[in-house]
Amino acid sequence: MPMPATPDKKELIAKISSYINDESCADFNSLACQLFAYQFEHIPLARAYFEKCGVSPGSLERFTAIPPIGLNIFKRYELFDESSCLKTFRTSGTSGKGRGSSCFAADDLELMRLAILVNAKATLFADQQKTRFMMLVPSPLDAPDIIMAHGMAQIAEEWATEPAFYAISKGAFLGPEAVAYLQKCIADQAPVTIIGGSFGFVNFIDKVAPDLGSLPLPLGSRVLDAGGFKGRSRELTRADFLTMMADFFHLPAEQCLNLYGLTELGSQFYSRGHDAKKPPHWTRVRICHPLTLEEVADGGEGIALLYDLTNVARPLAILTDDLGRRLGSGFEISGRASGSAPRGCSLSLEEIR
Amino acid sequence: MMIRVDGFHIPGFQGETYTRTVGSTEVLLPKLTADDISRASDHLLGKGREILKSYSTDDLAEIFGMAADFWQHDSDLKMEIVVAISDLTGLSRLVVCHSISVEQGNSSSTDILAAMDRDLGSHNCLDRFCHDPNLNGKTRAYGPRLTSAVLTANVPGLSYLPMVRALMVKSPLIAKLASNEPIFGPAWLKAVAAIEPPLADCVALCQWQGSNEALQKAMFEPAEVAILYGGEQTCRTLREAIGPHKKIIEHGHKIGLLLIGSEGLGDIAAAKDLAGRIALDVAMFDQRACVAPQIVYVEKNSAVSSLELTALIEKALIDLEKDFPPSAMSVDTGASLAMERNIALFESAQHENMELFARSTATLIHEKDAHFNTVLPTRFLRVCPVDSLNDVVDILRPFSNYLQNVGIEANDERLADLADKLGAIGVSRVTSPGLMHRPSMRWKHDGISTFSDLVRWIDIELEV
Repeated sequence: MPMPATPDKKELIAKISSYINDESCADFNSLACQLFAYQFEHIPLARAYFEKCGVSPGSLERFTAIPPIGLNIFKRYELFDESSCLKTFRTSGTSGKGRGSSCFAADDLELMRLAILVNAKATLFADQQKTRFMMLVPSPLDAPDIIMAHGMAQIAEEWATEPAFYAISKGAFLGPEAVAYLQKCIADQAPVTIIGGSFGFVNFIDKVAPDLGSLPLPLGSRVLDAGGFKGRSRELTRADFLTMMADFFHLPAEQCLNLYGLTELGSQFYSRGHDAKKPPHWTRVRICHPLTLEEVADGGEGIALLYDLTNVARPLAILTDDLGRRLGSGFEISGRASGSAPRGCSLSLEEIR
Repeated sequence: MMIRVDGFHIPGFQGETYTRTVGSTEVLLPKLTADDISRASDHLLGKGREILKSYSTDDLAEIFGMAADFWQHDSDLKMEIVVAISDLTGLSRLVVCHSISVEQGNSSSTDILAAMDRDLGSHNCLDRFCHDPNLNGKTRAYGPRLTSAVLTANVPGLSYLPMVRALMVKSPLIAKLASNEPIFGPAWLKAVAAIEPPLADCVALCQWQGSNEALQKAMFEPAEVAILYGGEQTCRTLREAIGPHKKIIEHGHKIGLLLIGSEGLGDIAAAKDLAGRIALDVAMFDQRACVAPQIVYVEKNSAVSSLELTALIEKALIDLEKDFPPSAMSVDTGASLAMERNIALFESAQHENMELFARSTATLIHEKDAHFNTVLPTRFLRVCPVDSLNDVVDILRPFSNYLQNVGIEANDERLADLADKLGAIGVSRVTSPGLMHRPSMRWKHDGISTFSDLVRWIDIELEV
């Protein structure tokens, strides 16, 4: 089979942008294969890996055959094309295995911005209603290398009726100010969107609920949490979290959204209330058997394999260590692999690393 | 059909119980209070000690040897316990069965008495004053009034060992069984009691979930000695709980290693045989035991290369899957293994001499150079090429706390020289590949004289 011509980055980003705006204008598989060809050519470390796996642009027919790159690899290697890196986001390193990094050139940032806004419009603001914003995440100025701070600020710029109020400033939590801000929203009957880490919400409510009882938010308000509870001092199920939102903010489950995102990806995955997460059309999520990487049957558990067309300068197929369940055309994430295996008296990875 | 098994053995316990169900196994567990444990200790200190005094060490060794023999043959109790341990630990039934047979196969009465004689000069000194030729007098040993222990799981059959050691020095034992597999200990004791009923009154095997300071205190306080199995963090916490004034015998988590000299790789036939032996050391206990190898250091410039040996071990591991079926793998373990395999594959693409062999449940990484890095114990080996086996000593030196078993394939002269160097940095057993999985009862476990550490002595010196 003749080797297809490698598309250039500008042309690719234009095609992917059009596709993000209009699903009918292209085909996911075709774009993924073109993107793979670009990455094969322009990310040397990834190319060596693809060749080792025996996959090349000439042999690739389906995106599912792209050898995925594990998240651990981002902690040891910089995987980026030859573009000039404008922005580097880093993982939090909470897993104790080092921090992964993700580079973005100017055009990558633009593409990510488009994906973030189109996604938010279809999910978080499906009702097209602008609101006030309260952030339980730091601002991009306070946390320049945290991708969530960057993305959420872009959503606020687009959908906020006034500048967002950041309840975290220079590492300090402004509890009384946050309560006052929400009370003002209530007094003005101005709907508010609260965005934060899942544990940030619990922390906030644990702190203020004993005095306040509840803060019934105005109609049209919503919350967006991300991150989950693994490794935290309190672990809440999704149902517990939604009950907490209902009790404290008087929000129905459908006004509570959850976001799953990774520093290594330009796109995010939303779910509403108790529903499964639905990948936006420029992404694919396959819940796979961890060793065969074959997709599990509907309802089955496995490891999340993500494909994201906004990852142009970085590999588009990512093998996560997140455990998930396939639910029809959607999925849910249940936790992160522990990095361990049952053992007796044998020395473990964790004891040495 | 459900199997009902006991997850505790506490003489005279009248308290409440509950059941935990895993697969087809229902484990009966106690709801313990500190008073229950104190009552059990009192019972052991009174009746338990009196009973043990009435036996000679030869009698006791014979009884435990008979129990070991029982566990090496098929029986309804053994089949029940094998199925139950498999349910609780995820290990396949055949692996559980092999593991129990191997453990108990090392524990005949001759083995037990020989182990005592190595440590104590003569086991008879626990029965009476014995002449000591080095003393010009007589000597006698006494076991602790009561020994306590925190036992390990996941290596089927292992929990019997502290019981044998304590009872052989005529010390009653109170122990906490491992949370996820609390059943072999009580079953072993049931077999002992079937042979010699009074001995059931000499051991209390308790179980509670997680840490519980009150129960822990009640268990450790009346005991003179504590035997601990566990990881660094667990042992540190337990040491703090026990306090500074009690003797502690600690068996922390350890790593097994293999050193393969060029003399073991003279031709393909020898390499195949070696690979089969290495695979057996990995598959036994499903690599969960401290004796299981995790890293193989192989001399470069051998007739059969380290890369060829790696491929042969992979094949041998796959071939062993029939007789030693691997554990059922959880999604969590599978995902953790997937990440290990993925990064190894990626790195093998970046480095010429690195290669990943991952087929079925076998995972082998042929590393580009030699280092010390543990594995996920899922039939997973790192194979590291070295210029000379002598180079390995320097690599291992910083990790001396974790060293234990080393399988060496080299000529006698080199083996003796390497053993000396390895002993100096903390290795406590050197053997051949293929024998790593069956340390004898006579081995000084972790370099410790397990019997002599338990006892105290009185000497009679009437001559100068």
